[in-house]
Amino acid sequence: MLDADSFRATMLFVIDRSAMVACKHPTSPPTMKKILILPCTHSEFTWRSIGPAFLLVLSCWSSRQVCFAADEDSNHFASELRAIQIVPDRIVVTADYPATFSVIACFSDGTQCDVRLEGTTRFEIEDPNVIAWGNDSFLVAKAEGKSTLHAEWYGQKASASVFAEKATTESPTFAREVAAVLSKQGCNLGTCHGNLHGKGGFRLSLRGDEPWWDAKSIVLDRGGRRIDLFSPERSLILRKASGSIAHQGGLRFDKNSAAFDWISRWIKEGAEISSAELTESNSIAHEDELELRVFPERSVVPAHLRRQQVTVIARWPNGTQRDITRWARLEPNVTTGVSIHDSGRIEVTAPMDLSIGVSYLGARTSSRIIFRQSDDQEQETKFEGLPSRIDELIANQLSAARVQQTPIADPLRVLRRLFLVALGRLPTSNEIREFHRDLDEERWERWVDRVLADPANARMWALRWSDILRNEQKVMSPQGTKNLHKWLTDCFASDTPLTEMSSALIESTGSTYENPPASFHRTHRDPMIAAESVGQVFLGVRLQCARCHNHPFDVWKQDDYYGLSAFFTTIEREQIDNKRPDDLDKHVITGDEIIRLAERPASIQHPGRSMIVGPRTPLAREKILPPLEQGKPLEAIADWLTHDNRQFARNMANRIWFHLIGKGIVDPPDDFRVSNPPSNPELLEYLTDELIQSNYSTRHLSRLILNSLCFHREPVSQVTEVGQLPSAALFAGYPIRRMQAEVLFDALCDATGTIGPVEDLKKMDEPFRRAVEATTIPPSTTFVRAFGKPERLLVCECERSDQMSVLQPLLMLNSEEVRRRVGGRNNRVRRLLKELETSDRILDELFLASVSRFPNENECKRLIDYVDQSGDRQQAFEDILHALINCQEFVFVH
Amino acid sequence: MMGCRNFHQLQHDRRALLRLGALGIGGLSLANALGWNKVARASPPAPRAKSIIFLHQCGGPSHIDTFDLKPHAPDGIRGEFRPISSSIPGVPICEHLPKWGETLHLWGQIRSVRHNMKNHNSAGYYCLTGHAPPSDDIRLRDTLDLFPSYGSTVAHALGPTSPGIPPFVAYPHIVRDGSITPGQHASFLGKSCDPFFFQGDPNSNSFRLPELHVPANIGLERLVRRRELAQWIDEHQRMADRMAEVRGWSELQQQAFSMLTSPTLKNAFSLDEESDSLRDAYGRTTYGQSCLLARRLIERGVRFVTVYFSSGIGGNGSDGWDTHQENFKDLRSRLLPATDLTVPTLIRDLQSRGLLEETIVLWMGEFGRGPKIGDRDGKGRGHWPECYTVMIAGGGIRGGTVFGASDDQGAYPVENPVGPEDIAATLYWAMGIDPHSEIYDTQNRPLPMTPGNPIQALFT
Repeated sequence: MLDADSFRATMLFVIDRSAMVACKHPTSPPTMKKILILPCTHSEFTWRSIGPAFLLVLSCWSSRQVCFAADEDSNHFASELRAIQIVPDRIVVTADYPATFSVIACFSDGTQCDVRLEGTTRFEIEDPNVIAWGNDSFLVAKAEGKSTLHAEWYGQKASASVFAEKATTESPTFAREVAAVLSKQGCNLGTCHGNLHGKGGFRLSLRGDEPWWDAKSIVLDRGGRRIDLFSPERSLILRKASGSIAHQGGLRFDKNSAAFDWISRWIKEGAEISSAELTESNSIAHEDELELRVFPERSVVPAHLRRQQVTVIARWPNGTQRDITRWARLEPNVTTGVSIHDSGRIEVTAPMDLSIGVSYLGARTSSRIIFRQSDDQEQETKFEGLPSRIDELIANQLSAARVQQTPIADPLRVLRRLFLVALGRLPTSNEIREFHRDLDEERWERWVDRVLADPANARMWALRWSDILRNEQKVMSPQGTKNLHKWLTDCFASDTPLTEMSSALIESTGSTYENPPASFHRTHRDPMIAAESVGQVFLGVRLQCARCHNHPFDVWKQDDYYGLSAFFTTIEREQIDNKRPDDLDKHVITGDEIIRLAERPASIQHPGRSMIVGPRTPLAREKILPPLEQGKPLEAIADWLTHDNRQFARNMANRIWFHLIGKGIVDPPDDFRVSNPPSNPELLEYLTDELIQSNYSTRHLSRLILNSLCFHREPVSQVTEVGQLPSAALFAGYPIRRMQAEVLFDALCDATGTIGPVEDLKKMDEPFRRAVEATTIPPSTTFVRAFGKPERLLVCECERSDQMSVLQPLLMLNSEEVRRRVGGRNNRVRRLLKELETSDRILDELFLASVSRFPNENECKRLIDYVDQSGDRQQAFEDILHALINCQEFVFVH
Repeated sequence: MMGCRNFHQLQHDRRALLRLGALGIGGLSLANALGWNKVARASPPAPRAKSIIFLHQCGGPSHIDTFDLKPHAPDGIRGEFRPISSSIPGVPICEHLPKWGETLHLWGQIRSVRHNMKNHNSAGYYCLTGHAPPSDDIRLRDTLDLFPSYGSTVAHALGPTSPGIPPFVAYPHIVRDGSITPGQHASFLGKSCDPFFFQGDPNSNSFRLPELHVPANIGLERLVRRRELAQWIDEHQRMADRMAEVRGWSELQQQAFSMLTSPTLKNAFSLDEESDSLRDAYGRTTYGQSCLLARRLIERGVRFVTVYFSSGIGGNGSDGWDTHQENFKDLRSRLLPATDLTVPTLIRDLQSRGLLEETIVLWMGEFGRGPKIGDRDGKGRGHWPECYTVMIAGGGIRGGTVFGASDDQGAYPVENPVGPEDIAATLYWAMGIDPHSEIYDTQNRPLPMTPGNPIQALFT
């Protein structure tokens, strides 16, 4: 109920059965700020009690100060209703395909909501003889013709044309109606008949990948026992699905449903499976692109409204358009708190950033709906001067979603962050002091330039790329790993355009020692692995699903997978000096390897179609690749990949963002997928534009990101609490994470002042001074491996584990490694005790070297007390150092 | 992060709902009211294991010379060893396993395990995970694409029994045949499910875990002081208040710290607390003392202990069961005596402490040995995955069960053939884990925990 104090003068007015309007200070219209529409559950308000407010409320409609509240306690906001809109604006209705639509109300604060289902919306159909209302408020066709649908909501009007194309039912086809039913009802899922082995002897292609196969399976398989042409309703397939006989998969649809009707009519009319549409779908050259559109594609829904209508329209190449909302599979990215009605109505129980994968026949798309957590305008952050476009784009989204941004962090914290992500090390105490003294206005920009020019920055990128290019010794040989690592370091040191670097990796041949980028074909020895790697590393797309079946949540088909693999089938490798220590281990290649191309057409066996297929660029079938005709498949694919390939640029921009900010805009960064859309599309497109315009300069984009305010904010958790929007994914602050293995190890050495040969790697061929520079992978029992250094056997960023295990704090607390460095002979504490007199100066140094900040007053007092009370100053400082490397600030990038 | 995961959950939800609905209408409540449940429950066995000790036998122990003897087979197959009677009437055992024979009534035997991996690493991976490797590659590469070990899967499904007690402990070797045999860690389940692993020798006098041992010059008291300082600094920075990651780290820190300070886990490693006579009975060998340690670990709540018999496949006089040459000499003089000393002692020890009822002991290698004698030096037996014997005891196993059977040469199963996936399913089921539940790989694809089915016939 309303709070008596704050709503003393509030009057309520029942507008209709579903909503109630409350307005503050009804006696003085000019000062009235808010009108609240509340879900109506009250009966105590009568016309008499609210009558005086009536006129006032009406006068307010004209000023459109309409706002909503979830309940009496919640925050509410005032924002102006700008317009309403019917989507789609062209509605096509047939007897078989009734249509739905949304009425989108657009507010001045950028939010939209679907008011279609609010009782306050009024509709009018111009010609009721053509169009009428059906079940679930779908529009149905009465007669062929055209009509107009008008909607009105609080004074705003909108209309849409409605075309009734077929007023009588048509013959259902397998390729369209039956196939859609099988997918929609889940019959062809991996857990059901779409399983490799089918279920109960009945097998369908996974998610209807191959309608032709499914048609045969139903009509011809097992002597046609699944259908009954004489009494279609008694067909096995219908009796099973409708529950008239036992079916392990349960009831899929009942006898009165459209699904049942379609299938039985299809059987009645002869169970036709030879239509051109169906047989064509089996051909690899089949280029029909069914276009799928979903309304809304994006929307932000105010906090008090927890529902949204989704409408899905399919458009065939011949121009046919149908509303297939009922027949599309709508699959949310969140499993709890969302319910999706068959009519396309989405309801949620808590605020969430929802994306819904939409699939229908072979087509995929998605819709993203943010149900925001609060409508309070005061929660809208006051954005201080936005220095960059990045911050503006982040702010736009945060402000629409009403997610609070974190404040700007202490400069020393940001400096530590900068060093860790750009150089892979902690700033030294001298560097921190220098930065601290630097009072220049352009201080930050200069320091960013300084770290970007540091050779360690290039080595950091070489480390990241070595991981995903699988630069490991077994296949690459120790010399080979070093050469490729050096080549990568040089590329980043000279800021080689990423297009150039990527082309070199794909099209280089010859000696891998003399021409290190040719190593790509040394580490990717199987054409299919090479294709997966091209997908994942260069396009950010995981193709693995498509090895065995079309990608269930994306547009990638098995044809794309094998078409891409075929490019790599003519590569031949010659080992010059292969002296395997273990003859049986065929994975080991020592010495150089020569990569060359055989003089034969590139082709590969496509198991799904049981045929040999040639190279074909994925998703760009019409594109002509001249180098391919000249027998240069590698040049062809490199060219396709790096010339005007927006996805390539997008992936690279996202990866740079991921490494510097700690979370991809598409996350995981190598999983671009229709059903895993970017958390901030405008930001990603902006960064992509910047990358392209700078000729794919890693340094330019890094500078842009490091100079943004986003990089300067206080940390936020990457874990989303229930009922909260994901603030890390929306970049409301700097996403916190554990330091990566090598950086942590080096930080441990730096903090304890024990830089020297990295003991961990001593047994390897060459001791490295720093773990981030090592080109080798140490054994699994070592420190860096315990913290997740990858073995470089996968192209996935996920191979580097950022997980935490109990062994990790155990190693930090009590490993020989840590004990030796904290209490060793020539460590930081002993040196400081010799160099510096006073305890407070030593304490400063220890803090700067480990947690990159000065101790605060409290800390000084307590810790110096600790030293004074201890009998042994050295031991006391060692204890403090041990405590510092074991405190939370040390282990995290924050 | 949609992947296949959500999608399947939805399906399960829908089905679960239907099932629940059906039960709710009258099934469950009615059954409860009438007390039918008790009757219904009597027939299928119920899982009752709380922990598992996996005695991994690297190299491939000969089944035909140990448990599945073929005394009536022709000369080139029968072998040199005679059968002797055991504690189960009519079920003989090899003459070199007399003590095991006395405890045979506590064991179940699966004499029809078979698969098709002929190389140690691929077969080893199969038997460590219950999943067939993608190829029978002699040096199968250990990538995150491969499946996790049994212990990691159990750790993933059940977590630790209490903070500071790792759910999965493995020692004292990393098994390798040339390259590391995959299947010894958590793989895609993540670091938190990796085994608590060490390579120290429990038979050595100075045996202790370096990470758990706080040296004298530091001392526990000083470690506590250091920890207090760190906690004090943390509390004032208040990072944990706002960030779940930091809270997670600090919980793990607390667990690590309690491992260091609380005697529970550390004491498990103090084998000198045991009487000399018991230690002698286990055998003063790495394997013997490792098995003793296994008992001490499960007593403290560790769910899964893997004891690797050897670091390599062996043969030619070294550790391991790969008896390509001098099969009989090696078995007689080295492998069987060591086994007969330790394994029966472990079983008796578990039984006398009342632990056997809820502890499964699994004795299993990656394959058996070929029936035809004459490999390499003419006195050996080759690899044989087509049929071999796996021993399993405790945790509800009906003692004395002989499940499955091989033909008269021990070459192929003639009854109830099962694979490593069924052994895996049996272990998971016995621990109360649904063996057909799904786990998710690095691509977030749903994969079956194991494709096998539990062998419930082994259980009472």
